[in-house]
Amino acid sequence: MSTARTLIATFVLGFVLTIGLVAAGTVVVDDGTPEPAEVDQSHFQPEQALIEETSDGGEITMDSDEQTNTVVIYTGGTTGGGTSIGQLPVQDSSDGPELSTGSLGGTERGVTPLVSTLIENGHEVKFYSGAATDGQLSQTLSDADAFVAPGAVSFTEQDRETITEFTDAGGRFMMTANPGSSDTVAELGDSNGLYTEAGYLYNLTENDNNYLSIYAEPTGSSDLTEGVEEVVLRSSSSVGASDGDTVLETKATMSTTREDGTYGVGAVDGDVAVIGDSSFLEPENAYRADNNELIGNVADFLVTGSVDEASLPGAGNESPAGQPPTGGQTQEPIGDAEDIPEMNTTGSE
Amino acid sequence: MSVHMTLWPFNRLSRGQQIAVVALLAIAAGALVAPQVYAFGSDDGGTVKVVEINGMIDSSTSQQFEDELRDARHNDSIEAVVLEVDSGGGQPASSERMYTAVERTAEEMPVTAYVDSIGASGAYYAMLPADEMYVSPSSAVGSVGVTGPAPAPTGPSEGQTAPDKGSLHPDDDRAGTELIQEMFIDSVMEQRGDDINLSREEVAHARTYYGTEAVGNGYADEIGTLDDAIHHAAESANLNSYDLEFNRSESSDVGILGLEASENGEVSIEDSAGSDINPYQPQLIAPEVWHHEVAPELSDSSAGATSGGDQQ
Repeated sequence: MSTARTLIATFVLGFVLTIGLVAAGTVVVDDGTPEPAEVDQSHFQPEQALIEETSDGGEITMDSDEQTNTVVIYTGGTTGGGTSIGQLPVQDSSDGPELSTGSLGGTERGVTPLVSTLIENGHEVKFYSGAATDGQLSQTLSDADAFVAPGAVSFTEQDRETITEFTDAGGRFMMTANPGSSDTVAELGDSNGLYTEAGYLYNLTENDNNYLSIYAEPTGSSDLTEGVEEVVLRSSSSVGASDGDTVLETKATMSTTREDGTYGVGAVDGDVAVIGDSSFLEPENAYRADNNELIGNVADFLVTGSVDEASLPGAGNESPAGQPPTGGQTQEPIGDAEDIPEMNTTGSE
Repeated sequence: MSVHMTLWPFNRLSRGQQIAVVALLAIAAGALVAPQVYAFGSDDGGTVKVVEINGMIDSSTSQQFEDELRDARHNDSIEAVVLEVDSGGGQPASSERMYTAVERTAEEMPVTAYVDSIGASGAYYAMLPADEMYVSPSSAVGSVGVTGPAPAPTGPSEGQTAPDKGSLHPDDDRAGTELIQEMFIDSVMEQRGDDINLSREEVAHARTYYGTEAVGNGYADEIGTLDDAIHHAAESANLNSYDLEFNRSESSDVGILGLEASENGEVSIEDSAGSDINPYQPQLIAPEVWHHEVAPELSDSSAGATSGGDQQ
């Protein structure tokens, strides 16, 4: 029996020893579920990742104390949409690719801040949406002081002559040349020494949260840029003046050539002003950076001309009628006044 | 007494026989433990695990991916990981999750990536922390940018309790997309800033490069195939001999008419067309994939104006 006892004791001892060793080994070897490795992701943290916002706010004010002036705004074109919500054509055709800048469509809506500023300051605003027959524009402009053509606009040859007559008589004229929709400037600008380039401007490093939203600064001093330090343009083309002055410029890249440089985005030549983008007029953008100052200055520019009423178009002489419509006018219906026997809506104000 | 009964035959053995029996038991017990001891003791044995990044990246992709890499880290026999990439990206958050999982794994063991035909946008994001990137010469690599709809405010609705419940203000919309974009570029510069010989601005251009170009400009490291990537991973882990562990995705012909998996069993990308990718939210998707798989019905501009601009 002593042998049996010895064997049992040996077995128990061996068993306990084994279990004890395994248990101790487990404690030593197993250090629990491994901790996940530390990774440095400070670039995801708010303090490093969040971007500074461009300042927003301010008021749109006019400096001039001009009495009631009449400003005609052409609504046959598009600003910030019109082809479809929030999109601009980037080429001169209705079915081409579009550039989206995020605003509700409609020219009237797109110029609301400018219109309300003018009216608030006692001026009169008329909308002109194109005419079924030639001659309507000269009639509309016959008692106007200023004319605004925002966005994608295309005029008949006769309308272009009318506008040139209007500016020759001292009427103020402002146009915006959105990328691709350069008809207005190309058609009207050359006689005034103003021009635009195809393509859009972008800046990948300094922008207002999108490469298309560029900052522009005044060059020198001009009435149009008084009080402006920086404006935001959501999608601008490059414009320039051969005789006049470039008043706004931006450091950007040209889409067509991918060339970095300083490009003009605003120019004035006498009574004619051109800005490379109409988005700064839109309600969503009107108070971004100093856009409100620029809009106020545009309003001042429009009402501070001195018009020789006797030489205004439509004041007596009729331009030769029966000009065939010029080709290439394939804007969306809203801008294609010649092909759509629509109304001549003047004076909606 | 039962013990007595059990030991009774043993009792009758001679002392020498008893020792022989105990010795036999010891050998048997040793044989049970020996494989573990052998595995523990042999230094040059180990496993290289190949993990796929395939098709559209969404939350289920990233979930499975993170699980796989966690398993690799917790499994002592796995000494290195190879990412086999063939994806044009997907959802930003999922890509970020995969990026983090790879970074974490690369802290513990060598991680090598290999790009088959495309490793762009969100997929490039995910594999950024890999120690070495191998690419096929004509693979598509890069596309460091965000694609999605342009800010498009909609009208107010009584169906929502607040304006931002319907659609964002364009400024907020832009800021959100810009945030995703900046973090993506930051991640690229953080992980590969020393390798990439392009400026941050050029990276932000979001161009997709061919593999050969990518090796030239530092977006990737070497021209090679999966074998090269595996070999490099094993070498980095000092493995003289190693096993391979694959967990290739199943064929894609489940429930989809006319679709068959390619020979190697990889899911064709059409399989992902019905995924959760929402073309109306910012996504990290290479333009090639976007136009074909995600939003072929959307115009160029909605998918980002660059392509439209090129046509001017």
